[in-house]
Amino acid sequence: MTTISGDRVNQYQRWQGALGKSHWTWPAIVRNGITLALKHNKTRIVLLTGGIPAVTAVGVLYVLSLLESLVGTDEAKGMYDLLSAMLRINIHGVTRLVEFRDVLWRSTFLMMTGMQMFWVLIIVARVGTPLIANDLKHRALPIYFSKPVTPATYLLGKWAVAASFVALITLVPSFAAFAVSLLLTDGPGTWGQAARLANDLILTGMFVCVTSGTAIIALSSITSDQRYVTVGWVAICLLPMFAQKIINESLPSNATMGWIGCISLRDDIFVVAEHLLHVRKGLAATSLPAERFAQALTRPIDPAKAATVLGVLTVSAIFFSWRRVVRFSRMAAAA
Amino acid sequence: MAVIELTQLSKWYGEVIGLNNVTAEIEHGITGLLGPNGAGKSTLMGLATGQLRPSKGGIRVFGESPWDNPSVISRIGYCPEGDPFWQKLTGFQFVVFLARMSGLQGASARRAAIDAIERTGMSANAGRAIRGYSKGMRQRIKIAQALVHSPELLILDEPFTGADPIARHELTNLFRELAAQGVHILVSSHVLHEVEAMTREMLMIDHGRIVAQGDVQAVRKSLLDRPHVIRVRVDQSRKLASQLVGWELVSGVSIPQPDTVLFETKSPEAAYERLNSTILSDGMNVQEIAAADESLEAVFGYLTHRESK
Repeated sequence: MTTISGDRVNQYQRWQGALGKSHWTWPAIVRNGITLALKHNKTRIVLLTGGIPAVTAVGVLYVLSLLESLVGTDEAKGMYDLLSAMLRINIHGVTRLVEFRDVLWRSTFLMMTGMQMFWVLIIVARVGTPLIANDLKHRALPIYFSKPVTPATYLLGKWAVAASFVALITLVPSFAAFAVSLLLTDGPGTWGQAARLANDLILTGMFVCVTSGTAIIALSSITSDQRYVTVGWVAICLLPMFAQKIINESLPSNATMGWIGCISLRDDIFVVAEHLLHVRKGLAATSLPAERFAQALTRPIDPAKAATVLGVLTVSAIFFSWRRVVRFSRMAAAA
Repeated sequence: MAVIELTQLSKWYGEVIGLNNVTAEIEHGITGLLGPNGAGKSTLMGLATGQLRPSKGGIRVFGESPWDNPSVISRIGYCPEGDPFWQKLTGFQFVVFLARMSGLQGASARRAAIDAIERTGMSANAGRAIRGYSKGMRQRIKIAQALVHSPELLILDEPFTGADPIARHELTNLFRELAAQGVHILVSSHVLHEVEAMTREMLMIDHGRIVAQGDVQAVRKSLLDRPHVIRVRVDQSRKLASQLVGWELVSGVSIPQPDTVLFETKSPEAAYERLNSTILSDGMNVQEIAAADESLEAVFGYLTHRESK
């Protein structure tokens, strides 16, 4: 036999080296999914504009930093107005802003997370909906499963595609905003506070990635028509949100919300984010009266309840999509 | 050791039987997998590629069960019938992706993709998006992905569908070449003469059961209840036909064309012998004497009770 190169030999060029382990095929699925999604201009536009909340957060933190040094001057008035409007926390008259720095940083990142949810809705609708639906449409499952791929690695790969794009909208800009703000300002206080905030930001971003990624994978495995998946996704995101709004409006403002407060998934994520970023606790610990920051917070919902709702949905979504993929793969193999 | 061994293999889908108590061995080289739609070909391929689990009995590929067995699946290249394409990918990206799915990594995946694409004659079009490919090009790029990790066994589901005659010829040559280099090939196709051009070995299934296996001529000979049809192209067709009518071993004679006589016999060897002496003694000018129903298509028709066209 004639040697062509170190690891392939003529004539059939049979592969001589070891093939990778089957459970490491999912990165190939992720890579392919990302390559395919980035071929769409609209996806790239959503990703680019997805940095807007982060830029806004950097701007707010920069103004906050300026305000600390300009307290008592004429310029400070406009800054107080701007920050109070942006953060929905009335900080007029607060002179020792250094003491509020950590909680205001956290409130800023919570505001940013709230803004990012809109982009998450769009990016998941664009990138996540075709993930399994298109494989069903093009009958691609036999080609996946004729390779050393299991339903679990397939789903992990598909989930990771959705999660990667959600991370590009949430985690990456959040961290970039955090890093830039650290460079431009004196930071949230001590290094310890900065490290804790960074950690909380990662947790919040990952939480959004996990919940939205699994939800869209489950939806995408329902049908081979991507349009129905998109409609389903938008409906799941928006309809409960409107319903929650109506319920909130109809109840007195001081009414305690039980499970009924956990209808909207978007609100649930926001409640958990608020908890992970320690905003409610942080604001309550300040000398500010509660009515000054009430608008910045959600209605008092037990974050454990919201997390339970999201957790149950996530586990159900994983189980459901796994069942669907196993079923469809066997149907496709026999067709 | 056989490449694929089926032992009392059955596969059910609820109440529908895909394969029914099938026992067979698929040996080295090229084997044609034939059968009408719904016969169980795809089920057999799904079982052989580890995508389906047998309901009963067993299937062994290279001596091991392929179900949930990545080490066996890595040795198989599968080309499915449909068009499982990501339209915006180029042919090269498609093959590289599936090379990575097969376990190749980094530069090795790209190099293997280039090799496989070259073998299937797609190098010139590998940089184009798949959505612009013709059906024949799609077939070739699918075959390239099946070859990319240099499998020992190729399972090809209708690889000639949509391919033009030149592409079919080239693919046939490629499969023969691969077989000569030691690759085992199981190929299903409705284009029977293409399968016949590659191999005489076949496995015919119908209604989930194996109806015949082995060399197509040997199978034909074993069909004792079916008279053999012999075609003679001769200048004096009417004279020959009138003589054939009087032979005891001939059960039917027809003249489908002015220069062609078809006759049926259950003793082909004796008929050939007597035919030769008759032609010689009467001084007839013969252009061709051939078995008219030993083709794969004819045998397939007999076995599945569908007359060949």
